[in-house]
Amino acid sequence: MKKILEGNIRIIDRVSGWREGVKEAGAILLEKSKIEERYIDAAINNIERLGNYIILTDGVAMPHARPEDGAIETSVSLLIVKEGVEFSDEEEKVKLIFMLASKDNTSHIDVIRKLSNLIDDEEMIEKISNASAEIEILNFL
Amino acid sequence: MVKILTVCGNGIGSSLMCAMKIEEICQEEGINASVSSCDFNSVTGKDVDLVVTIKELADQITTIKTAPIRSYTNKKKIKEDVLEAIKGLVK
Repeated sequence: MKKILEGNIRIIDRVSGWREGVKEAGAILLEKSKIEERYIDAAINNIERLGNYIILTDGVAMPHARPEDGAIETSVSLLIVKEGVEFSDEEEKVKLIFMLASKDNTSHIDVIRKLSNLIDDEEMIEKISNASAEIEILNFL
Repeated sequence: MVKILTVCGNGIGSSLMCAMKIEEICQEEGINASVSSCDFNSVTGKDVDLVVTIKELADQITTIKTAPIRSYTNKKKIKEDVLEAIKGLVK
């Protein structure tokens, strides 16, 4: 997980809303040419159309689109929003936004398994939410 | 063999994570299950016994029995939400 997230973590205090949160998380992958810009729009569009299936568990979201929506390399970024951001009235505020891109339908399976185990570890999620620098997070992974 | 399908918007992210957790749960419980995942638009016509997804999508699926989950990744919550329904299908 450390290798996957290295250089792809950003920490900010607040965002204006969930769309900006998804854009910021996507911008990290866009800057590294892991995705095309349209991938971010597709991820936002999916949430508008199908709702909050990207909220994996309380406080953690994983926006994503399909490989054909402009994913160049299988990759993950992490945006930590210190004040949290609301995705819907019914859900708790999201503090961790993991943007996932997969270049095909299978190459991300190992990444997904690692990410899923990380997200299931509540203590780890708490530590990541409270971190103030990427290096701190990479050290616990 | 119980056929379980996990569903999310794209079929490659959240639903895949959930499928992995359900496989683990079934293994631990000694339940013989085949778990697959797909996107919401592909659900119709799938030959499965149970669809597992979040409530807002489960509410829109009327042709197959559904088990709504609160989380795609929290194994404890998933187990609480789906184990009874799966056990009910084994008999």
